[in-house]
Amino acid sequence: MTRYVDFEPAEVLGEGLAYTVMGICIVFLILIIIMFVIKAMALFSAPAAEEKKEEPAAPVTEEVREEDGFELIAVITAAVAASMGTSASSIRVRSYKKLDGGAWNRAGRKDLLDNRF
Amino acid sequence: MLTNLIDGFGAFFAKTGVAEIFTKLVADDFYGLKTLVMLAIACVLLYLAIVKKFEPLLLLPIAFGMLIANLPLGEVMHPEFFIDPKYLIDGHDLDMNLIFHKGGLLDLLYLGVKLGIYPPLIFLGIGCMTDFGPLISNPKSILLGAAAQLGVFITFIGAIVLGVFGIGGFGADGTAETIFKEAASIGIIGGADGPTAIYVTKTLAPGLLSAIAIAAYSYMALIPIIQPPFMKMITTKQERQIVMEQLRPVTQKEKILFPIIVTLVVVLIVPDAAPLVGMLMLGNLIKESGVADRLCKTAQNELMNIVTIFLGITVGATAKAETFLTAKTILIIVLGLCAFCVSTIGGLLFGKIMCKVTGGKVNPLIGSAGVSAVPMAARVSQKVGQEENPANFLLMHAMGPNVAGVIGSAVAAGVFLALFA
Repeated sequence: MTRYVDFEPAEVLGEGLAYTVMGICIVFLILIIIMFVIKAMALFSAPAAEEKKEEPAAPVTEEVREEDGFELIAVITAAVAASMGTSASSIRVRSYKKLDGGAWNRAGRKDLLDNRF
Repeated sequence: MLTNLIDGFGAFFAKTGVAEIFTKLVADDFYGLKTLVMLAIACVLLYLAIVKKFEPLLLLPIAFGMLIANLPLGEVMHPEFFIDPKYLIDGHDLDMNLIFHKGGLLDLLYLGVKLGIYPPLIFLGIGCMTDFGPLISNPKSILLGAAAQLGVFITFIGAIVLGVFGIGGFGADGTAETIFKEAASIGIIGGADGPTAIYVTKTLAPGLLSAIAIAAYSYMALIPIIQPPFMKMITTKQERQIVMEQLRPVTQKEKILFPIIVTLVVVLIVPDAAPLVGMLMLGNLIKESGVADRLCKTAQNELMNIVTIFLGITVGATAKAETFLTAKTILIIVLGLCAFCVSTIGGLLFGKIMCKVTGGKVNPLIGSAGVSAVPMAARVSQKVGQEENPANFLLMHAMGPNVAGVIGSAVAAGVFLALFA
């Protein structure tokens, strides 16, 4: 411990602790000031028209098929929300089902078969 | 003729790096062995950057800088010109004459780090890419950006404790001032912000620059692995499922006023944060004003890319064996990880407090995004939230604390610089 020529360990620890508390306080102080300034700013320049409250619609899309389609549910929710112009939090996708067949598939199949002749 | 040829080759060989390594394998304090170890570390970092894709935009130039600076006799970089009192005028001022005349390529580029030019320029580009909208529409999320600086200060005091008890060689010159400076530089790793960490370290503890930069960028790449365990440990399942109200739209007027106001508030209180916060907000103003599109494109693409290359390669090049292969480097890596974890915990705990206070309107998962690392930390919040509730979209809510974290760590850096520089 002879390296330490110019200080007492306890003194340095105390000083360091003071700096620590002071640092945390200053960071909070500044960000709190910014928070209040943003709030004040919002009073003066908030969007003129009050946005209308969205109805908590719950559009249901077909039946359930998969268990792990979390990502798919997220995509469907986002797409429905975007097309309805509402928030994703006011929609719940309860279930969905993959459709097979359809006119296009039939047309394609017919086309392929016709090519064989 | 033949003897001449052999002599010629012999003389040539003696001047090669290979000879330098093997003739001094154990001489000069194990110069050759240490060089080989440094080259191996550089190769590992290159592997992490290229194969594992750890922040490759920075880690790749850092690792290559390390490789090229440690090849014997290359003379592209002399870190000692910047840190060794022997080469400094009166023991502390840079000897520009020496650097200009004897310095290699990377010494000259390193001036951009040493003089504090590159990190603020990177902040300019980040400002041009950052949307403060989520923060403006939910101002209280800025507090999470402050809470997630906890790791910075807890690690700071932790490093002081190590220094005081003589562990790891912090403050090796025997003064309390050095301990504080090195502790501050290590603590700032917890800000999860590379340019800020570099900006503080180049001023307070330039000898630790390479270790701190490598630790900071490696952990930033590891955020998706480091954070989720804490997020799941600290929050309950119900809390993670909380769906937050949609953010209100923000007007362009607010977005334009924001950078101006933040600059005024921060720089008036912590003038030392001016270069970082000032450039960040200038970049943001250029973007939001919409009248200087060309400048915005240049700042976030060409300028930022050029500066990133210079910053990476020169920071890597400061990693010479004498300063890098020490117990300090290992401790810095450990302390850096602690800083990251404590910051994450700080943000999460404050998120829980906000959740309680608002009666369950705030999902505490957005707290961990208060460590800067934009946008990686916010993405982690989104991902963990969606695991519990697939229809939950936390990304934009997490962007608020995330961008607040950038301001928070720049302020923390300003505080350290004001105290110790």
